[in-house]
Amino acid sequence: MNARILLSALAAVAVAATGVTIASCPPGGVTEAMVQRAYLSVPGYAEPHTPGSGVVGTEMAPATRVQQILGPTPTLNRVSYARFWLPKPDPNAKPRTIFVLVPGFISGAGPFGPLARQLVAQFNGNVEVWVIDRRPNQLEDRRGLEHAKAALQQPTPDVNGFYEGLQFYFPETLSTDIDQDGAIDPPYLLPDALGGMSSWVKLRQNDARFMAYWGVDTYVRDWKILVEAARAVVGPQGLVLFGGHSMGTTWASVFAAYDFDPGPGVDAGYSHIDGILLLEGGGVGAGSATKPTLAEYQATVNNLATATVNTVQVFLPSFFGVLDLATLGAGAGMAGLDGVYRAGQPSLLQRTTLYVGSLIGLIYPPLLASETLIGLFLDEDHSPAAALAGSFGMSDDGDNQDFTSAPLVTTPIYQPLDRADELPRQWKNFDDPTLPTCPPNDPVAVAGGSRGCAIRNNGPRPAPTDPARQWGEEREVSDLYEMLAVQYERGDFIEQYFASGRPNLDFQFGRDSSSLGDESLLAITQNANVNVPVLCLGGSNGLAPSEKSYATYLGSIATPASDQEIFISEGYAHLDVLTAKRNAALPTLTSWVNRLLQRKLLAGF
Amino acid sequence: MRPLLRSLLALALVATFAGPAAAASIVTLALDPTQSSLVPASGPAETLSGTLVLRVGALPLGGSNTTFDVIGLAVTASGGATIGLDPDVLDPGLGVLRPDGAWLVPTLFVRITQGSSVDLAIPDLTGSVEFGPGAASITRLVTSFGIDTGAGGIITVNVVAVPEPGTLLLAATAVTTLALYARRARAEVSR
Repeated sequence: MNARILLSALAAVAVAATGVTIASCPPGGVTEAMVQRAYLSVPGYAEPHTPGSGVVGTEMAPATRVQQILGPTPTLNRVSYARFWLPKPDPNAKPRTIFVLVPGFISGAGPFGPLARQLVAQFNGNVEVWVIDRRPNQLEDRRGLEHAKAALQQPTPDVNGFYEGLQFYFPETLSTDIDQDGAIDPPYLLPDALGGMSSWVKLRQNDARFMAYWGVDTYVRDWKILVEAARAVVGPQGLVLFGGHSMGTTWASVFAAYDFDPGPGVDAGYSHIDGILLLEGGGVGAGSATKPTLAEYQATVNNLATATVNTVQVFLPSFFGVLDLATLGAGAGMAGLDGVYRAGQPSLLQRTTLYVGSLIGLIYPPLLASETLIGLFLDEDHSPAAALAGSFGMSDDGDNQDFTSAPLVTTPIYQPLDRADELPRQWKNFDDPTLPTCPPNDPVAVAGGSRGCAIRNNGPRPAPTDPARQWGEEREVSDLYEMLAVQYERGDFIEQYFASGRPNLDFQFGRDSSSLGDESLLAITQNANVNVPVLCLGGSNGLAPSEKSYATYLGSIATPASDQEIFISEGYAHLDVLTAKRNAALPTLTSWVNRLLQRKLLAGF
Repeated sequence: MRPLLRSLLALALVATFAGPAAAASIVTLALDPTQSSLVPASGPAETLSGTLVLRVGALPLGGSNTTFDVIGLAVTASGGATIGLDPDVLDPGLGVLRPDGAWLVPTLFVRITQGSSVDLAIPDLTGSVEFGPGAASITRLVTSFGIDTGAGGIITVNVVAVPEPGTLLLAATAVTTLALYARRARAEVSR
């Protein structure tokens, strides 16, 4: 056999056990591109108040707007997730490890894609990653998005169809002529689930009062269903590892600490999993100094469920109180389509009310290329929420000015200004060798000739016992173009109706809800007994940048120090831990899985 | 026999057969080229030669499983490709060994090089070992698995490995010398 052919053949790998299981892959080895993604939805926890529960006398009737999106009899007790896996020729071949991961604040499954693909490819399919997409995502009206996508996916992209999608979500006004036909077109209508025609159905608080019952208890019971499904796949000798990113680390640690037995017995969450993965978040804290009493708790839930004014909020209406969250989510989806199908061309979102006359237009005044609009929001050099962003490159084809003094901006970011030639500002991706560095460029850019720099040095690493702070040389590691489709795929980037009312009430108890005294409502009672291994992965330019970021949580559980690991990727920002192309934490993560699996198999295989 | 020489030979014997103590043991095995092969779907088979190094958690085994880690791999196919552990993975070959000799490495991470290199993960690698007297040593390792190359068909990989010749010679020398020493000692006592 020719040696080169042999190498190619071996490079194909996916080897099987003792000739029984055979897996395949083409020459070149397993690549991330071979990893499949599917968005799945299965029956979730049967929360009785939720439309579709079937519990007579308790089930709440769905509002008309919900019916327009989901049909006359929606069943909302469902749990959804994005599954990342590697197809194998043998349908009986199963992974030995499954990660079940929870997204962070107002986020979805999408950003986990790069890390998930790297993990699955690294293990040649012996690992799967399931990323949870929380319940409220099913309430999003995706009709305009799907209409626009279908139009752009034509052999010859139909831009008019994209205009229609934009006019579905963002009706034209005197100052926004999306298709530039000189007329103020009416909102674009599409068939809805009640058989009528309607433009964007955007929920109000009163349309979703059932979300008063979508708190910690409902969520963790949803996720336990996935954990049990994962266990059924990997078996008792496999690994089910539960984790989360950012605020998802709070959720993950609460899952571990939860007592699923509402009676006197204990069915602890940690007993169902083999380890906890905290990604750029320090886990659950102590909660509020003053915890609600049972009467106060019940009164608050009742108010959330029965209020008739939209000021009583079951979901978060806006991002930091200034950007309407549903509008931002719909706009992000359309902007992602714009970026994928019209890369380099002027952003059409800049013709809509998402931009014109809004805060976004004030923050980003220049003409932008379609993908630049996304880049400015996601990149830690430009985003008004830089602490929640990643390192996707930079826009430096025009002046940038320091924007630190703007409201809500707490870290140095750059506001892009018009190009001298008034052409759209373009995006320079993470791997562009000409990204500006400092020096020679000045990190504090001023209008009139400065561009700023993408890569700063945030100083020496703090000692493990020092207060947490950012450190190290920044790195540009995440591919913006990989994040464009994430904006509109199921399990997208922004959760338009992020449940806030009930979870905020629950999180006042932090890691121990024992004082509430009613485990049928909330049962975070087992944190001190959590004894499974914990791996913490942070970014030195993120929100959990050093050992101290995790110390409080790790000190609150029973896991011995020898089973607590922390790895900080130097230069990584908050999202990079998920989105980096060649994730620096992958060797640590791989080793963790290998060691835990070996330990598990010692009990028998 | 001088005490020092006796001690060295005893040490060699212990090291070679991984000793009677239930502690981690390093076992070096050599692939038997006459029984180790890569067999493509069509075309001639290639022989495999080289060594693999194991760290066994406890030898002799008691009644329970022990760790079985592939910590060294240096294999060459007769066609020229070399196969080693993936140096980018911290623990590339962690596995478990049963008292009956069956073993499992859930994922073995290897690097194949011939001009360029490709990193591969081999899932669910299983096989068996045979033990020496008292289950204090490993005298043979066998595994066989398939690689589906897609259009290229399935390659079958067969591996039979035994203690490498140098190790065997050292062990044989140690055993023989100690046996001679014991016989002489007995003779001296009887006088």
